[in-house]
Amino acid sequence: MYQMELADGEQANGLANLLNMLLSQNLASNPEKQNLARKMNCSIGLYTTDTDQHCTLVFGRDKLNIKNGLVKPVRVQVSANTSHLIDVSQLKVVGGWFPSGFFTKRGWQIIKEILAGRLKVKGLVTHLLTVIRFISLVSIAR
Amino acid sequence: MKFASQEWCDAFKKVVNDDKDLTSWFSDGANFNYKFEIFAEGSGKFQLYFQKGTVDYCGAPQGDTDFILGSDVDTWKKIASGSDAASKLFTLGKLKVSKGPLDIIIRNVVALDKICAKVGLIATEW
Repeated sequence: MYQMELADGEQANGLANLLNMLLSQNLASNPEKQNLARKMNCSIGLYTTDTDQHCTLVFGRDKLNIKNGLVKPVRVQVSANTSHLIDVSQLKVVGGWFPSGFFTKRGWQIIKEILAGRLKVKGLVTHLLTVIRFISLVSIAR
Repeated sequence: MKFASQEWCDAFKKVVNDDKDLTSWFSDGANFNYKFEIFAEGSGKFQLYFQKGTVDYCGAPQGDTDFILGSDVDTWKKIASGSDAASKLFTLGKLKVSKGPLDIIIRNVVALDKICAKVGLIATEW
């Protein structure tokens, strides 16, 4: 079982706690997502623009460590608001690599937000597979 | 009315159910059959049962629920005043979901925001 850890324990910020809950539930219910998490082997930084919170997800071989703040180096850095995070978590990714959810109304809206610069994904082009795998991990889409 | 008193719960059930758009807020209103326990720290708690996307029961705790969510009074006042949406405060960690599948909350975040905001329509004594 892929482990999850909040590095800051009781002091973990809201964003870190939310991602911990979401990823814990997603991985517990889906062994394929556990395999995907093992393959990540990188760090992803997240920042919520409307709540001004940072956290870093450090994907190890057997454990995900979620830390407050932006802890560099990160392979991908996401800057988004609450609505973006909620929308992205509802995108479907087939087989952990095909983001079919982008071909939906919600998906097109997310693409527009990226193009408008309101949702920023640093590393989107250079680490596209990492981004897609991350979406797959946080996705609640069936 | 005192928060979570039966009088308050009756008023809350009415303002929620009276909204003709209620079931449309859910991703699948016809199958939204969940029980919630909702608390305000230091002020009280109540239970809210949904059956097919409408409130079937609102009142004193009667048993186990599918979800437990709530916050401190200051956060509820922000939600009630409309200054912040429940979903944003959820991301901030101010509105806590201590029990229940998060995917249901995420899928129905519009309903979460709109139903929580209905607290502002009731003159509440915290």
